[in-house]
Amino acid sequence: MSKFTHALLWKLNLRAVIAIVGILVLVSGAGTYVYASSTSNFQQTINAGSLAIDIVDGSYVTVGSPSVTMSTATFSFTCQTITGTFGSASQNIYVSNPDAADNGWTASLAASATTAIWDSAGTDYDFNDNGGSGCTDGADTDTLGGQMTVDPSVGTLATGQCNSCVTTNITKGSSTAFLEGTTNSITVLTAAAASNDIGDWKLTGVSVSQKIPEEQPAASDYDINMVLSVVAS
Amino acid sequence: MKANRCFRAFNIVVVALLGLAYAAAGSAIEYEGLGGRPANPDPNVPNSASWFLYQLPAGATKEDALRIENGSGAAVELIVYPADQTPSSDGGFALKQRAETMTELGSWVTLYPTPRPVAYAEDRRSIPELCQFAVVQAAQAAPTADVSELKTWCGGVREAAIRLEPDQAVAVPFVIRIPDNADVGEHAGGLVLERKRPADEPSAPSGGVQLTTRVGVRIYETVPGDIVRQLELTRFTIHPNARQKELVATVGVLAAGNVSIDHTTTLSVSDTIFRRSSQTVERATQALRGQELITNISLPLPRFGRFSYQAQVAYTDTDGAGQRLMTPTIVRWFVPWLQIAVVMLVAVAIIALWLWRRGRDRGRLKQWRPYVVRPGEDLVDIASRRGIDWRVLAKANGLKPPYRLKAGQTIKVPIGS
Repeated sequence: MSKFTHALLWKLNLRAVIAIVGILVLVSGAGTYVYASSTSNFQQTINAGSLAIDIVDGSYVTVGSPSVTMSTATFSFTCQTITGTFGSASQNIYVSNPDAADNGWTASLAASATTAIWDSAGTDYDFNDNGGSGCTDGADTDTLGGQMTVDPSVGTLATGQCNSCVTTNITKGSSTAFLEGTTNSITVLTAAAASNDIGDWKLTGVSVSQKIPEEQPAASDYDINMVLSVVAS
Repeated sequence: MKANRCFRAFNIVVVALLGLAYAAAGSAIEYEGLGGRPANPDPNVPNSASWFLYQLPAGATKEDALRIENGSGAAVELIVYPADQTPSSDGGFALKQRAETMTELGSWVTLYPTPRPVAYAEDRRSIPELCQFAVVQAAQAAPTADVSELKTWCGGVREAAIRLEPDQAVAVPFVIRIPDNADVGEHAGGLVLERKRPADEPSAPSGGVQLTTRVGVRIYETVPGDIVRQLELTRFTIHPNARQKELVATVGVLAAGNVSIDHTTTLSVSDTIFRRSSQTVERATQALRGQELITNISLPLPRFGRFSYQAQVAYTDTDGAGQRLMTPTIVRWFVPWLQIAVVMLVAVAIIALWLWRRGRDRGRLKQWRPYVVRPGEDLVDIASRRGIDWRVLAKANGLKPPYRLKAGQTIKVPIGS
């Protein structure tokens, strides 16, 4: 033990320690608490915040460039399916409602355009074509096959930082496949009017599966842009 | 001396930890994201703090503003644009993507993110009035430069790129112009705040779904006329969600009129064996105009029993009268077949073992020979002479306590002994 620590411990008694820590706590907690006074009236207005959706990490910090990684696939002469998980411990789907949407809200997932595709440097494949059960090109505007299915119902919904909040009255969406012109957007979560007006929630483990047409050329950079939206009900 | 020092150090640590825990208990939700809401809500109009609600006739215009707030600790770049409503799966409310062509309400909204021209900065007229003035002035023989500038500004923009510093809020004015041929009834859309990826942010690794987030604020415009509020039941199913071990009740309703309809779905679950109501779940939701809304209600999967399920949907019709739609009752048996199969297997195994042992004992008995008990002999004597346990002999001969044998009594004993 250093001489300084030794001297400090020797000089301090318990009452002095309590007094110092008490002062520290009051100083650190000043931003959180408003104390009543017998001589003054303190008034505080807390404005309702805004409904927000984000992809955050375990510390509720926005994840830069969030993404969903799909399982790898090798070249196949038959149609195959790759899978991925939307929402993870490091990339939570996060909805925050600081008294902004008293009537509930809806979170949904859609591609950045109905004409979006899994794009690579070479050939591409589709995300919203049900031709041949998603394996071949159907009647949509492009000449590509492939279909993506999102199943929020298998995800795990939990409250976030709000200790008193509950997941009651928040419904996970059904397993749904994208279909151009018919299903351009998939409901991930629906909060009914009776859900917490003030709260935050995390969703992880949403299943994503993608049909890849047969003989799809090998490439390591198939990408698609998708948009996660929340709208107050 | 050393113990005293340790005690003092322990005191400091304990009190400091208690102090920190006390301070942490009061912290609030620390996430404050990007969001928007109506800048001019009417306290007398329900939901006007969350939605833009208008009842403008065809051909009318109205100025309003969207308040955008950046509650985060970092600057945010975003794109604001109006969008048509589009159905999401299960009938949820979603808005069209930025890349799509807006043909409905999304095309009726024009944004005015830049300040008015300097010459009209103090003008109190609304944007529609000012722009009408610009049209009239521009039609004159030699419009001034100010009028030309105003006319250009009046064109507005379809989307606006905005940068918000930490904790900054701005109001973006907009004008909604209802076309002359707009149908009677409700038209829905919204204003979207879409995050723009900062140029210095590293791009996501390739080979996956690249995600962008956005927040929408609904706009409901109801063109006055013959409003029809009608709700129809479309489906009611009960099915287990095997992966979650939950039961999902699905109730579908269709807003068959020309407006969206708020309604309450109440699911009642009854235990028909014990004749009691076991659960009631209520959900208040909105079916969008002309669209089916699916409400999934998750319930715990019963372990055993016979349960009946029925849903009731309540809404207010065109005349303001309360209406109730009842679904058919669905009755389901819940039997834990797997557990029963395991119990049955164990029972069969026990019975089989018992039968086998019984058969073995009988088989042995057939090979035994009769033996006449002599005077003074008891069971223990006879058994010990034959090298077997007296209890086996007693059991084989069906003898009961106190196991007395009489002289001349015939019992069976093992052969060869």
